[in-house]
Amino acid sequence: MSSLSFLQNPLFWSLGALLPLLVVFYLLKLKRKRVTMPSTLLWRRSVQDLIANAPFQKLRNNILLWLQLLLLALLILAFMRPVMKLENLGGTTVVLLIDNSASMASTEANGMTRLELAQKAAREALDTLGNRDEAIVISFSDRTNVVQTLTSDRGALRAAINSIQVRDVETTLQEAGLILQGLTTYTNEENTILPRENTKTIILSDGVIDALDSLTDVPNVEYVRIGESTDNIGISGIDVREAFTDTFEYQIFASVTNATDEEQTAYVELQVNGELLDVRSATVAPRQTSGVVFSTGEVLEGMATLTLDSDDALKTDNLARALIAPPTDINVLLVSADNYFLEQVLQIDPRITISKIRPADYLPSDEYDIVVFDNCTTGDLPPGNFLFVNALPPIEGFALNDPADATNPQVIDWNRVHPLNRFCNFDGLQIGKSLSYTAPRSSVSILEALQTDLITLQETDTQRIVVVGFDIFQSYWPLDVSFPIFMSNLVDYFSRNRMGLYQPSYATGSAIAIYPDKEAVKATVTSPSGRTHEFSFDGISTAYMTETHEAGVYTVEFDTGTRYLLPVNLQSPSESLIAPADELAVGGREIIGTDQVVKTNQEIWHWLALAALLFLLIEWFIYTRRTFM
Amino acid sequence: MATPDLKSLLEPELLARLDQLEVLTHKIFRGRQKGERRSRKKGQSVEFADYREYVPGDDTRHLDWNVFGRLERLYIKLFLEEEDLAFYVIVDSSKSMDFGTPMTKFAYARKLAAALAYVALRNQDKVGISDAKDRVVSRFRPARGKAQLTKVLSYLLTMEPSDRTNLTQSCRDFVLQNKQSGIVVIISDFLDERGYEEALKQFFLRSYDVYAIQVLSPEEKNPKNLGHLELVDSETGERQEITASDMLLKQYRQTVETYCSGLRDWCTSRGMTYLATTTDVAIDTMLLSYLRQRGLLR
Repeated sequence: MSSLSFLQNPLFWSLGALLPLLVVFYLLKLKRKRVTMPSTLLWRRSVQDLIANAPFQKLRNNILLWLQLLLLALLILAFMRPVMKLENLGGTTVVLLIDNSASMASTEANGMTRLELAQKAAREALDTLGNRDEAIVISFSDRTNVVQTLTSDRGALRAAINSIQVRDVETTLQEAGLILQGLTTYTNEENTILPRENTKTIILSDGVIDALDSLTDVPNVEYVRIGESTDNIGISGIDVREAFTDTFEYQIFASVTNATDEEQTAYVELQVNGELLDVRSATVAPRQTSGVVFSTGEVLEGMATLTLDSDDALKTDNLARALIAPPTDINVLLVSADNYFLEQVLQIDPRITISKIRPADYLPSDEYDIVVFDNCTTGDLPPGNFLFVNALPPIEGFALNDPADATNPQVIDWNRVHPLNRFCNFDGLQIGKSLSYTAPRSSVSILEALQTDLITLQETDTQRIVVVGFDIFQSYWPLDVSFPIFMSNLVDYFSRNRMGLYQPSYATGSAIAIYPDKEAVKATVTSPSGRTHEFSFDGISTAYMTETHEAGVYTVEFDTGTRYLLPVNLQSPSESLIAPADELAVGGREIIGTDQVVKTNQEIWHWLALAALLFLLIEWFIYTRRTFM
Repeated sequence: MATPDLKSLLEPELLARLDQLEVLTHKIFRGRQKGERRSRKKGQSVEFADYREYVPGDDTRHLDWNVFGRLERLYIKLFLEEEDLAFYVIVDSSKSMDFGTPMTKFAYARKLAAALAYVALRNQDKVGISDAKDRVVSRFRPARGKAQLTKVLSYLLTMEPSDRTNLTQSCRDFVLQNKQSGIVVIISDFLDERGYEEALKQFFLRSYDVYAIQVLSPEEKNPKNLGHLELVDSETGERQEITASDMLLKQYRQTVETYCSGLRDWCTSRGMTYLATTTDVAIDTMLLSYLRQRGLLR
């Protein structure tokens, strides 16, 4: 198909339209009236005489002569292959990186979105290429997409540029950077990365972007800064939590980000299930984020929608939605000699009913939603949800190392995207001693120390087990804010059933786990724009919806008829701060943004040939009309 | 009298006016039979023409004794000889003559030929008609007397315009067919690809008194702006695309003028008489005014 990509070139169709025009001219020529004359002898002589005598006497009046001279001059010029002497960028391979993240949907003063401006600049960059130059078109946001592979086909490149659409997601250049490095550098025999000659990289973005420090060897990078507007105030975060009180009430937290250079006050409306519940004002300092808290009152279930009343450049972040899940009773069995902190932290949650027994009294039972083994374990584990603290479950794959203890394990990382770690920050967590253990390969590391995993999740079709590998009394964790948050996340995670399976809201671009409902084997997820994605649960317990780049409400529908909603929001302070960056850090260098693509040598022979063709048509038209003889 | 068909060639009003005319020639021809007209050849008649010196053998009856009495030299008195005259009309009947308004060039030429023949026959001159296309396709053999008028007119009515012009071949045929010198009136548009020079040179073989009458239609001489045309030659079928712009029309008129004046100059320089006319000029005007001025009629 690529060989026919010129069909996508509008210039091809524009020039193709000349063909029927020629036919029209031909038809016009046929319209000459035929008249029989006694003799054409004298007419022929007259025409010959006129032609013979014309050049010097009628030069000024003969438009055909002028047209022919012009045509000839254009053709001669075209054959000379003239070049517009503009600043030379010396590139024969051009990489066009076009930002299509959420901030690129911002509308500028001229009414065009930033993406449209970037596409226009990219098309202009194509016009500056020489005939033998090649280009590649890459769009980047949370993901990188090679929209058009390396080609010199302008039609295909143009079509690729035009096909790029905004994704309501954050931006990262990391993945694009790897592709860029492959295109613009090479490794020599001594394993040294060297820049490739005759390459040019053009980044078309508003600069709301990560730095690309790793790309030290990418040569000849140009950053075209797209957009100027800073006019935006938006909802950059939303969450729903049960109020930490005895009453059944929910609180909705919203973050409001102000991208302008002045303090802004905006009104945020809360609607639940389409009914206006509350309006609150939020005053936000320049380029800062503030919080607004709503209470849902007696409303305990439904879709909460926050609307920010602002006619600003970016509309995507003026709306955020979150799901208020109905509360469910959770029975927790605490198998422990005595653990004050665990007991207290679990009691905070009003949904939880705690039963306590000593380890020796434990008998496997399916009465409880969650069983917590504190400093003890068991011989047999029935289906269910389990938390093991400073102990390992009787599951194949879990084993103590030699030595079995790790002293002062240093936290080095945690799984930031896992629901268990939502809002948790383990920086500075100090632990005196931990088990040193090995977990099954199928497990997920939640919190890692240098020597061992500190918290591990193991899931099977029937069991979900979290192992906290240290005694909380031998750590400062109970005194850290991450402790109650983690435990709350754990209860949420374990209590997932029916509507409670899902988070109140998701950020765009995140992978959403779809859990099968009862006997369901198929699920259909419909995006806000109506695109559908089918999932089959044949042989797997969880499916992941990754196409979540549209902000809005997604619908999940199982073949059993169960249906529920997933609100997805931009939730990105960095994208809401739409002020374009003047500089972009690439490979440790600060690249100053330009307003337009620096032009290169441009061959103009094809324009001259086109003009010659046009004049030829005009000349022929006039000749056939013989308006001037 | 002319039959109804013949009347279309010679209207009675015109006939009455033609009765006053006679054909005149500037050359001296040797007639075969005494005619009713005076020729420029000196001979035996009552009308004195000139003197010349006496040479032995001359008829002494013609010596002018009065002159001898005064000059003492012998002079012979010369008298104009009255003789018959051969009067030929060559009518171009090629396809190109079948155009023109208010009548076609051919119709005009035929009427002119009929009128001239009438004048000649009435004066007891011999009249011959030749039908010229790419050759002389037929001819009316020279005959004398008013009685031949009907035959001449009938012959003219049998002629129809067709085929291509070849004036050279036609004139060559004419000269071979008509041995007796006399007045030759050739009526044609003279629009021949081969030119008219070779054709008219044929008449040098015999001492003809040649009148070339060029008949064109007003549209040919002064065409109007007709727009974008594809012209088709009626004889050759050749095509010429034109846009009748003012510039081209001006050039065309100039070309016509050059062509006609070329023909005129060529004829004049060789002792021939040229006369141009268009089909909108009345026949009687042509006869009574133009041909009189040129000395063909008196």
